[in-house]
Amino acid sequence: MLASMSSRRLLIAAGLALFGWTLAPVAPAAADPAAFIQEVSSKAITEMAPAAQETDQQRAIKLKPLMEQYFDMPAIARYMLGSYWPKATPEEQAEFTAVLTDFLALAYGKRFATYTGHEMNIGRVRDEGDRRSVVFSTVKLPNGEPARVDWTIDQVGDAYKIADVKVEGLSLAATHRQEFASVISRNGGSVSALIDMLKQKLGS
Amino acid sequence: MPNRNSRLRVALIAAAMGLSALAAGCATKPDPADEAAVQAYQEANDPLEPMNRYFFEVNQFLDEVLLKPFAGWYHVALPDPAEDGVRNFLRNLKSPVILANDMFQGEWSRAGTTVARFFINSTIGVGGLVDVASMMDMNYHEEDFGQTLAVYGAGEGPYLHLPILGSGNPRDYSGRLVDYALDPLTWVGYAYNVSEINTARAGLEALDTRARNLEAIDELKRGSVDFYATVRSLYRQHRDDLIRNGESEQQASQEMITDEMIPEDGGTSVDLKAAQSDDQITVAE
Repeated sequence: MLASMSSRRLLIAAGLALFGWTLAPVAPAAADPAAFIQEVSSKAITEMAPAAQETDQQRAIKLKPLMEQYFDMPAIARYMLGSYWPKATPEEQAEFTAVLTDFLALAYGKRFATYTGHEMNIGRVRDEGDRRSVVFSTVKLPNGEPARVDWTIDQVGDAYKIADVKVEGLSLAATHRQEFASVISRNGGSVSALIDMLKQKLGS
Repeated sequence: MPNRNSRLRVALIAAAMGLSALAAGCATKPDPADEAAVQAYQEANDPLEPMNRYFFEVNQFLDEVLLKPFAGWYHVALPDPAEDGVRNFLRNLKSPVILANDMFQGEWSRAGTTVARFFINSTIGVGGLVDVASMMDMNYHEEDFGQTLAVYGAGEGPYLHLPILGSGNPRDYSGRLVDYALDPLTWVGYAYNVSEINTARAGLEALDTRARNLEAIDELKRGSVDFYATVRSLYRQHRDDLIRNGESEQQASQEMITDEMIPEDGGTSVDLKAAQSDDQITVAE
């Protein structure tokens, strides 16, 4: 009835995006994109280990610094606003970027517990040029089926940052971009209307 | 399905109301001077949005009152291995249609897998209940005529959300009709006057898929600021992924270097790579 398979996979994406699997510990300094993804996931395992009686908000608070460290939030925010980014005032742009980080941390933080303890295999890395590469990996889901997870990694300065995560072809960035564009256009092109809605979700 | 008749009646009423919604007009086109709005409109590729949203709401309602409760009971009543058995059985039934489309697309190795899976699972796998073939590294894959049309270069057309049937577009809906005609079970149903088996099968498929996604859909709905737009986007990305048989689209992503993300100041302070993110929604065609 819904795009059910798809939605399930997005959720898995979400869980995985937020690194809920087990990996052998690796050297701290990421020499290449694949090593970077290993570093991110092993860090996430220690930082995001589920505690008893945790609320969604508490998990979001744990996740947020990891997102700020490993995800290219400014670029993700720009991409998700799409053609509305240049239309937004600098204040709106800044506020959107800040609210978006909280929104994603809340949305994906609570899914962590479900997706811990999976085995991830890092496959090939494809150089996309222009300091961007895609790291392909597969994760074994609890039901035993492997899921494809593709990481889009940008080199920003001398650090690697995640720009997008795709699970089974479903892109986190593209999905939210479409969703946000729809909200903005239904509110007469108002970016602040979207910001208000995201804040509402954070409050609830 | 015991509720088949009431479902049908609801669907008919909904269809009638939807047609009047359609008659009432399509989505308002954006002001051509407003570039951002025009671009968002094109990216959404949903000129019938008001009607689609209406049907989406109808389907959401049907889901809440019928499918979701049934799926919930089904999920609780059946132990997981039994649920997997049902899915394996349903997947095995699809083999002839998958095989036909593998061949239409010239995917001979995948066609071979489909044949082998069918024989292994129908015999050793007890009539398809156990997916023995996947334990031998012959994994299930989907193919349908909508994908075949896409491989032959047919565009998807605008998004279309229909009562009961849900997300789609002209290409995929035409494909579903062809698949229905390609399916031997369709003709068995007609020839022996037991077309109920096809209805039962469709109902069971809906139930199985829904039961597997109870939590996922709830969470997605809760977390979303525009659930309709989220579902629309996921549908397209999922179809696109199936069409490419899960291969990543290097060429497509390279074609996606657009200037849409460059702000009016020329982008002096902006990382242009953001503009090239793999936006497979717009590159599908």
